[in-house]
Amino acid sequence: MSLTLAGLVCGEKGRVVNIVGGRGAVMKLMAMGIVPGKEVKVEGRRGGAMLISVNGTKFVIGRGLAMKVIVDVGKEG
Amino acid sequence: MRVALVGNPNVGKTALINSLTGGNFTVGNFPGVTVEKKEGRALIDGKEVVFIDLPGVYSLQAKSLDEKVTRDFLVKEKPDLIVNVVNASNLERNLYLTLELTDFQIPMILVLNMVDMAERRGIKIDSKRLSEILGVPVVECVANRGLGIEDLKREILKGGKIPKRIGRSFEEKVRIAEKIARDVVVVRRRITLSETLDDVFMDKILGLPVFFTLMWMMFTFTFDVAKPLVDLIDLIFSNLVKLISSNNGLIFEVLASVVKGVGSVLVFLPNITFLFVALSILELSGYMPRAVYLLDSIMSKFKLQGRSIISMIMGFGCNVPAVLATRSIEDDRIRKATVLAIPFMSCSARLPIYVLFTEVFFPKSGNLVIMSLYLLGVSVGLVSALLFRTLIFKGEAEYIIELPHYMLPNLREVLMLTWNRVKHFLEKAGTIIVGMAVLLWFVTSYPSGNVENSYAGLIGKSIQPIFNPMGWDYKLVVALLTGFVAKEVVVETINLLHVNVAGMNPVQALSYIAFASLYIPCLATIAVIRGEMGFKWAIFSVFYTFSVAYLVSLAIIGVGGWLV
Repeated sequence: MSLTLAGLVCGEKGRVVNIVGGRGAVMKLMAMGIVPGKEVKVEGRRGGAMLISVNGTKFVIGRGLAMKVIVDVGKEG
Repeated sequence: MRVALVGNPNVGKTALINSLTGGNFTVGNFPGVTVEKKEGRALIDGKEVVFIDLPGVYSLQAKSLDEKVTRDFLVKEKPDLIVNVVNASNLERNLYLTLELTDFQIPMILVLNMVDMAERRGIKIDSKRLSEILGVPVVECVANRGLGIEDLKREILKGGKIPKRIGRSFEEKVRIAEKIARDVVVVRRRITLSETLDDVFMDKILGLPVFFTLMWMMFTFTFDVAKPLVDLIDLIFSNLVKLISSNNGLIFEVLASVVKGVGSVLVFLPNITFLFVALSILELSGYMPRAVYLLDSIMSKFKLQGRSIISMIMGFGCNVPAVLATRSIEDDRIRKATVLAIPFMSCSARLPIYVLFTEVFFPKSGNLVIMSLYLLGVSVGLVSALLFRTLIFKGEAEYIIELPHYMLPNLREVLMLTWNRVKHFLEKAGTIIVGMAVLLWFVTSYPSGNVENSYAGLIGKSIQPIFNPMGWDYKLVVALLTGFVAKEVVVETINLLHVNVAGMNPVQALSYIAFASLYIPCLATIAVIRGEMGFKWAIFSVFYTFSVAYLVSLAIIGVGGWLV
């Protein structure tokens, strides 16, 4: 099942399948290691910010950018 | 020989340039932009080598200022050698930039930095294999402890090697980087101290109390610990003024007012320096991005970001560095809204005004009144920010910040960072204050010696009718006018003009201090707002803060008159 990274709850994992948005946003996310195929884990949420970890690196990401990352959570339906 | 240091943020480039040059480097700006440039020299076996530390970037793809500066430097200045600094704990992501650098076909050396930290995390890199794949020498370092620096110096003298060009598009480079990392990295994962620290600092319940404790410590350090130095500077300047004033003549009169003006600003130098030392430590230790996350739930209600609160808290000390600190806010819309909210944060220069009036009018509940004034400032600031974010700087916040590993800050780095910022403050505030001191002396001494018939008095009288509803004396209006130069001058002017403060009623007094707390930012703040946002927004800030201050003090008169 695909949804945006902003839609994940705390503790949930997902695999990045796509990044939608302008070239600027896509390049920025990719350059930081958020690229298709990578597993993202949501470590926490607070207000508009999410704490995520990718490849052993932690990031704080704002809701606006998190909505541009499409992830697959593996469940059917 | 000119060597450029290139790498991601948080890879320890500053520590590297520090140990390569033995601390012999300067911090400046790249021409025409506010991007920090560190440049240092070293003699290696009698050969002079110039190191240029380029801004930390994740790639050369996006169009941020840092990336443009880095790209332009490599294309136009053509350094003799690129030293690509890579964080060994995070090789794959760092390799994206490395592969982009291969396109420039400039001789290169790859530095695997912080290998000790990587090893503690159970990460081992086959540097020989990595060197074969990229076609450039690979050196392992722990820059902040000086390990591997001699090896690196030897390789620098050899001049590095031109790398193989790897990958065409960025997407392709990303895929290749993933493959290379899989080939050369061996991982045995372990729990690190950083994660243990995060269990406390980022805890759902403990996180915020820990944050506020740290902030309180920072405040104590900034104001209480710096106090003896403040008193010392105050003493020196007031004696200097006395000494100069004991001479007769026009030149001494002007000189005395200049020294007085400069002194009134320099007394805050210890506060500002201490504030910056505390902030540099917070920044270099890696705590800042974590605070951003902790405070986001509160700040997002006002459509701001956690990082805004740090600037706003700094504003209690001085608005000038607070505005400069907004540079670390990634999202431009949030940054601008924060800059415009900062003037409402009651800076330390406004405190003397509160003290003067509360001692006369509210001798028993002085602290409560002062506390409410601070809260008033914060509330007005946050509501204004929400207003700006809803009406002018619209849009969902877009930012992503890497949480670096915790580091014990190096004293030299802390001092360098602090000095660089204090220097800016001295330059900008210093020039304005000297000029205004002369002007102030002139408008209060001409065309006639007494204040009432001086230019300042005449201007005050002509503006006074605006404040008729509040019933303030024209001298109090003059004090506000002069406070435009620097807020501490308000009290100075009140004393100078022998204003009979006790002649006001308490409601008038309250409305006056509320106005003084909120109205037009001081000149130095306006100057930095102009620097950060442009002339138009600096003017906007002047009008906006004035209107808000006027409405609030009018409201106090209205409500107060109805209550009393």
